[in-house]
Amino acid sequence: MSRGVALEMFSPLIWHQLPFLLVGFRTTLYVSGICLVLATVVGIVVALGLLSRLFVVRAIAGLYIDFFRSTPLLIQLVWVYYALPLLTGYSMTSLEAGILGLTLYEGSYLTEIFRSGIMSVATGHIDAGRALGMTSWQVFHQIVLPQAAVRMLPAFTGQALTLLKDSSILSIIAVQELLWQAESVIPITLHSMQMLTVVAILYFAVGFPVALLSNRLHARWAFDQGA
Amino acid sequence: MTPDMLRISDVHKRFGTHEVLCGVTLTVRRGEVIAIIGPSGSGKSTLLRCINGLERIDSGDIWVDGNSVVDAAADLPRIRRKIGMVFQHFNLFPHMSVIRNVAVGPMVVLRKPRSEAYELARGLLDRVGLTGKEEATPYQLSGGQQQRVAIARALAMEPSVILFDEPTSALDPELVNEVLLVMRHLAKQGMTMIVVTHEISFAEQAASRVVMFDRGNIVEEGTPRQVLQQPRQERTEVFLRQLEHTVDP
Amino acid sequence: MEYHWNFDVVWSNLPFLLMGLEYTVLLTAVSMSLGLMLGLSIALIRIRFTRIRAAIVLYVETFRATPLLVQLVWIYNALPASGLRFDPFWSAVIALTLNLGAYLSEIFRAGIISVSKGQTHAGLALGMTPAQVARVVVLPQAVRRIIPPVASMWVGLFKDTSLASAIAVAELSYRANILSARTYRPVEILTAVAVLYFVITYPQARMAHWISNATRVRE
Repeated sequence: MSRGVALEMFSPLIWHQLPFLLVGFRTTLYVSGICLVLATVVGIVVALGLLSRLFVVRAIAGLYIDFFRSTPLLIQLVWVYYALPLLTGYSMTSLEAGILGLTLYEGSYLTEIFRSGIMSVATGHIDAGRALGMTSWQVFHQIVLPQAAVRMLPAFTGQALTLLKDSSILSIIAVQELLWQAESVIPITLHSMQMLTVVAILYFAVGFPVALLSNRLHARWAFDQGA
Repeated sequence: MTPDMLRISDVHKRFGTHEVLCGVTLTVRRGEVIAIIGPSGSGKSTLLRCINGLERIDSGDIWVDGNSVVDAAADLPRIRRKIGMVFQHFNLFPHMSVIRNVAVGPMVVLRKPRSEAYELARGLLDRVGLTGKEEATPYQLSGGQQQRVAIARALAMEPSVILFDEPTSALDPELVNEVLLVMRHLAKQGMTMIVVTHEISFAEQAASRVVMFDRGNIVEEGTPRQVLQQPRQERTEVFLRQLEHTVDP
Repeated sequence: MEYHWNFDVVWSNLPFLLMGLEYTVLLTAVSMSLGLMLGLSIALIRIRFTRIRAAIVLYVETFRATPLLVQLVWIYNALPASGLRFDPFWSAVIALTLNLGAYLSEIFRAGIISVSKGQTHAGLALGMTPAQVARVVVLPQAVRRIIPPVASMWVGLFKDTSLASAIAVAELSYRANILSARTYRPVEILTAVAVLYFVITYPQARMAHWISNATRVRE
């Protein structure tokens, strides 16, 4: 960056726009948080579906994953926002469409993480539980879930970070998160680089610690996802 | 051509606060076979790795065939050509066939044409008794066979001296002899060898000199007879007695 | 409420959309090629020149902790300011390459480190220079551990090129959006494009998965 541009970083204009950007940042965090929770629920449900004894259930779960992981999030969001309302007759705000789209997309990745975690719990433990007279549900609850939860924590954290970054794509369907706010302000201020740099810094401020956490968890619980 | 193949003089090395080599001084003449014995952790392997510069020493000097290893810096690869090394865990290249393992040194380092290098490799594999195994991969060979390939690989560079770092320690007992046999042959042919080993039989039969190493320095040295049968130092005696108890009759 | 599907608008605009697919593939291939070179260079530099390690770590962590879309928009805006060319396609290539380079450098580094030190020692003991050891001994072994994650990244990259539509690169997603607006039939256009992405991406994803299992390192 040239010196002139660098000096402008501290110009009053930035500080003037900062609250506006922070509102967008708050939306980013809010959307990410909601989607993470919802996607987790979706992920658990579909993961259990994948492990179901019924072929139909497994097939549907498999189809869901395959489809949502083989198309770009951008296309999914645009489809939910523009096409879905025409099909169902119900209109949606961009925020609703964004949350739905992001949830379904991230849910498909979380499904795989949960499934791997559950499968990684040694069958010996399950057999031991059964031998003690536990029901399937009890075995799952007491033995599988706690161990699975610990093992998938590293990958889960990684996916949470991905979700946070992917929330920026919601700007394309005009959800007023951080990137959208910055872009809407740029034509007014004509200081694109400064705005975008602040956006990057804000993402980094949250993203980097989460990445560090994920790394630390990965190092402590080295766990092969490929199974 | 000096008669002194290798000169180690007052070498010190620290790992953190722990002094691993405490003023080691040793001279090796051309054609000598030195057996270095001693307890684990005494610094024997570290000393070996300092000789070909895989480890850097803190003070002192090491001269191999007139070249200073310490001053070598960027020239280290050139000096290493003349110093062969055989590792405890063989370290054969798993992604290459046996013959390529042996030929890769001459090809890549000495820039010999492939046909010449492979010809040389075939001859060496024959010398260590592995004719017919040229196209095998390391995984398909037993430990003893792998180590013999490793020896052939070292020989391919036509070194002036070969360093052996516990060459049979990782081998099943029944495979040890085939490797020792090759090493004894080499010794008889006049190769200068420095062998860190627990195999007292080898030291007795093939070494021209035995060095007892403990806690970072030489405790005593002499002919195999002197050190192994009439040790002057108590530490040597204790060590040899311990070994006796673990050796199968 | 019944929706009446009519895919005529897709068929009549198919050439237009397929041209977008061409750009998508081109964008993926060019960015991956450059990204691989960049990633490998960075990994090797990081191992060799420990003094600029901090700068490299900063680069890698920045590109991994910030969204790709933000990087795309940032670079798209930054290039004119530096007087360089601002063709959207190349802006996208630069952004994607830098992003990939960060991830790939970590993949390369992990692969290289996974090759045991004894291998390096053996190569050096033969008189190889560090460069020769890297080329002849380490990298060929590292490649086995590197290919699965790289295959995975390729699939991800293919989908990520859709973000280039935000900076007006005429790849598939961009054309899908333009067409939807122009024809007022987003349902058919977007569904068709989604299917198109799926048909191209899914086989690649399965292949990447197969590669992962096939090159499971057997020690």
